[in-house]
Amino acid sequence: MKKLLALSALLLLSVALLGCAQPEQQPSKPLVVCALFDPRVPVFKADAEAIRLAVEEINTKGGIMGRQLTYIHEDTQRKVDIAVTAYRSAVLEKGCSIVFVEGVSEEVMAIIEEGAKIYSTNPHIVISSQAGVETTFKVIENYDKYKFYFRNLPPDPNLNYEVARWFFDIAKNVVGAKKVALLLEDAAWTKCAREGCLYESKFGKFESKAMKDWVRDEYGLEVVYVAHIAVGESNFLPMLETAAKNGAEYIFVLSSWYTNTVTLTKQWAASAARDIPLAFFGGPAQWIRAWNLTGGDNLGTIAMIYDYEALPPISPLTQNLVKKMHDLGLSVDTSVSYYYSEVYRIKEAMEKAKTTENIDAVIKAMEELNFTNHATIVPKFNYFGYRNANFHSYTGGPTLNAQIQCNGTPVYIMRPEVILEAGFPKPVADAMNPAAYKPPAELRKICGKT
Amino acid sequence: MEIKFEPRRGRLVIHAFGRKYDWIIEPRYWRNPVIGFLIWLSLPLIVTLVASLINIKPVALISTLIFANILIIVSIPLVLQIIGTGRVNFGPHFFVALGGYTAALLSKNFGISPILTLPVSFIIGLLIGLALSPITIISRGVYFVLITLLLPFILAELAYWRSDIFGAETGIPGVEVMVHTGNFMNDLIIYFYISFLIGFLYLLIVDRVLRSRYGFLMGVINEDEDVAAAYGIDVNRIKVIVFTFTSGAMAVAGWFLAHYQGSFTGPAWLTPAFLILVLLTTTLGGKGAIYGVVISGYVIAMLREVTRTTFGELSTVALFLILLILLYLLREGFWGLYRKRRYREYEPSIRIRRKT
Repeated sequence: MKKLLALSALLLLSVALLGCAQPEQQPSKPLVVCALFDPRVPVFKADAEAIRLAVEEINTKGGIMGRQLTYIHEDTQRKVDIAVTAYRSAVLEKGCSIVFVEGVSEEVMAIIEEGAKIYSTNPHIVISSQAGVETTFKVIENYDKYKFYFRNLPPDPNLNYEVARWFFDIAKNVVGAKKVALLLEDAAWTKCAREGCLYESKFGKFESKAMKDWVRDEYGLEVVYVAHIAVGESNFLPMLETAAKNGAEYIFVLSSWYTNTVTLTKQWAASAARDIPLAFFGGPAQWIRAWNLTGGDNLGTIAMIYDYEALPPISPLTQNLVKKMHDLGLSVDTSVSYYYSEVYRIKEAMEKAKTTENIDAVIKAMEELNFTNHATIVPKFNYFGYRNANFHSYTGGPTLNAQIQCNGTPVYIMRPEVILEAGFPKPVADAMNPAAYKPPAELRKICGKT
Repeated sequence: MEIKFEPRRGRLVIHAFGRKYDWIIEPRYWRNPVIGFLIWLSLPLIVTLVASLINIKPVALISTLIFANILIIVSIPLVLQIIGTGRVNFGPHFFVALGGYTAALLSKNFGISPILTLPVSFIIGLLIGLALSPITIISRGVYFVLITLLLPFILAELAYWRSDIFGAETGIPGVEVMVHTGNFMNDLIIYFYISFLIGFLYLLIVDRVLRSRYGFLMGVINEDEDVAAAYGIDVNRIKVIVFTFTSGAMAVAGWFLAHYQGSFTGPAWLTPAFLILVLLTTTLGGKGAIYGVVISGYVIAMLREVTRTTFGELSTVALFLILLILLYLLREGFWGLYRKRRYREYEPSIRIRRKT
C-alpha cells in the first residue's frame, strides 16, 4: 500500500509539473473563428454554414484589417459534455478568438463557466442565440468575469413579449379576431409567457405578465383557450379541436425547434380549426420549404419569414445571405441571419477598435457599435450596449411576419407604420401589405386546395 | 535514500526505503492490478507527454478522460446492482440527475460547498433508492426494465413542469465549481483525479464486496432467486441493500457533474443517449467484470471523441456501428480478452472460506 501511495504521489507531482509547464499560447494568425454546432440539426447546420459564408466573404474582401480569417467547425452532437470539450479544444488548442455556439441554453450555461476560467489566458468572444435569461444576468452582475459573452437573441422574457406581441397586433388589426387561443411550448424559455415573471438585476428588471393576461389587457382580445405543449408532443389535435370548440378566431403557437410544427400544421389543416388563422412564433414554419414539408398544408399560416429571396433589403447583406444559403440548399430562419450578421459585426468592431488581438477593446467596441449592417434587424434592436436587462443581448421588436399564400409565397402582413416606427428602411415598410391577408378558407378556394 | 535493483533467478529484487520488494520477471506472474492502477493513474501524464511531443494541448483528450471517469462512476455501482438484484436497471441516469439536482440546488440556493453537497447528494440518492427498492422485489424482467426506464422520463417532465426550481432545459446555473487554481490545465487534471479517485474507490469497495460472503450470496441471487431463497438466503434484504447503496453511489456522478460544469441541466443527462453509453460501458466491460468496466469506459469515451472529430455528421452512426461490432465480437467483453490470455483464471472459481 505504501509503495502504491509513493508511486501515486510521484505521478501526481509529474502531472502537476507538466501542467504548469504549458507554454503561453501566442496570438495565432490568421484570426480563428469557430462554430460549435450539431450539423445533424438542419437549423444548426444552416447557422454554421452562414458563419462560414460570412468568413469567406470577409476574406474575399481582404479580411479584417488585412488579417485573414480561418473557419473551424466543431460538432457538439447537441450534448453538454461534448460542447464543453469542443469549446475547450476550440479556444485552448485551436486558438479560436471568436466562438459561435448553437442556441442551446444548457450548453451555453456550461460553456460560459468554462470561458470565465480561460478568458484571462486566452481572451476570446462567445456568441450564441440561446434564450435563457440567466446568461445575461451573469454578464450584468459579474461583468469582468463574463464580459466575453454576447447573445444574438433577446433574453427570453423580452423575447416572449416584445417579439411575440406583434402577432397579436396582426390578430387584432389585420385578422380582426376577438377571441384567441394560445398554445405555449412547455419549456424554460416560455416561462414568462406561461406564468408571468419578474427578474431583477442592477441594470433594471424584467417584469412580464402571463401572455394570456397581457393579450387581454393590451390588445383587448379574449383568450378562450390556453394549452401547454409538452416537449416532444406530436398529437396536437385535441388542442386544436378544443380551440375551435371554444370559438377561437386566431391561434398563436409560441413554438421553437422543440415543437414539431410541421405535424402541428398538418393536423391543423385536417382539424375543425382549419379555418382559424394559425400563427407560429418559430420553428420550421419560418422556412419557405415548409410548403413542401407540409405538402402545402401551411397555406394561410402566419410566421416570421426571412427565408425569401424577394425579401426587401434591411441592409446590403439581407438578400445576399438568402440567395447564397438557398444556393447551398439551406433555409434561413432568424438565427441564421443573426449568426451571419454577427461575423460582420465582429469585423466592424475590430475595425472600430483598430485591433484584432486586443479582445477587451473589441468587446468594448461591440458594446458601443451602432451596427447598421445586420441582415434582418435594425440597429436599435441589435445594439449590445444598453445598460438595461438586455445588456449584451438583442432587444425584442417587430419582425417581418408574413402569411403563406398560394404556392407557398409569403405575403408580408405587418402594418407598415409599425415597421417604419421600428426603424426599418422605407422600402421594407412599403413591402408590407396587411390588406392582402386572407382567411385560410378563402385562400384554399383561391389556390384550388381543397 | 538508496534504491538498488538486484537481479535474481526469475525475479528482480528492489531494495528501497530500507525494505525489499520482489518483482517476478515472467509476465504471467505480474501483479496486474498494480499495473492497471498505475496506468489508470498516469493517463493524464501519458496524454500530456504525447501531446507535448506533437505540440498540441491535450485539453480535449483530458476532458474525454474525465467523461470516461463519469461513465465508470455510474457503471461500477450499476454492475454491482445487476449482480446483487439479478435485474438490469435502465434508469441509472435518474440517480445521476438526482445527485446533480441536489448538489446544484444546495450550492445555488444555500451556498453550500461541494464538500458538504457530496454527502447530501449521496444520502438523497440513497434514500430515493431505498424508497424505490421494493421494485426489486415486486417486479422482474420487462416490468422492472419498464419501471426503471420510466423514472428518468418522470424526472425530466418534473424538471419542465417546475422549471422555476429545476430550470427545465436551461438548468441550474451558478453552481460553485470544485476547483479553480487559475491554471486551466491544472484544473482539468485535478478534475480528472477527483473523478478517478471516486471511480477507484468504487472499484475497491465493489471488489471487496464481490469477494466477500455477500458477494457470494449476490452471485447466487443473480443465478436463481428461488434457489437462493431455498438455501435460506434473505434475498429481499440483500436486494434492497444493494439497490439502495448503489443508487446513492450513482448520485455521486451527478454531484461531480454539477460542481465540474458549474451548472446542472437534468434533461441533458436524462436522455436515452447517456443511458445507452452507460449500459454499453457495463456490457462491454464483461459480465459482472468491474475491472472491465474501467477499460470499456475509456474505450467508449475515446471512441466517441475520435469518431466526433473524424466522421463529421456520421460520427454517431460510426460510433454505434463500432460499438455494435464490438458487442458482437467480444462476447465476454473487454475483460474476457484479458481472462482468455490468463487462462488459469478464465473459468469462474468460487473461494469458500471454512470456519475452523
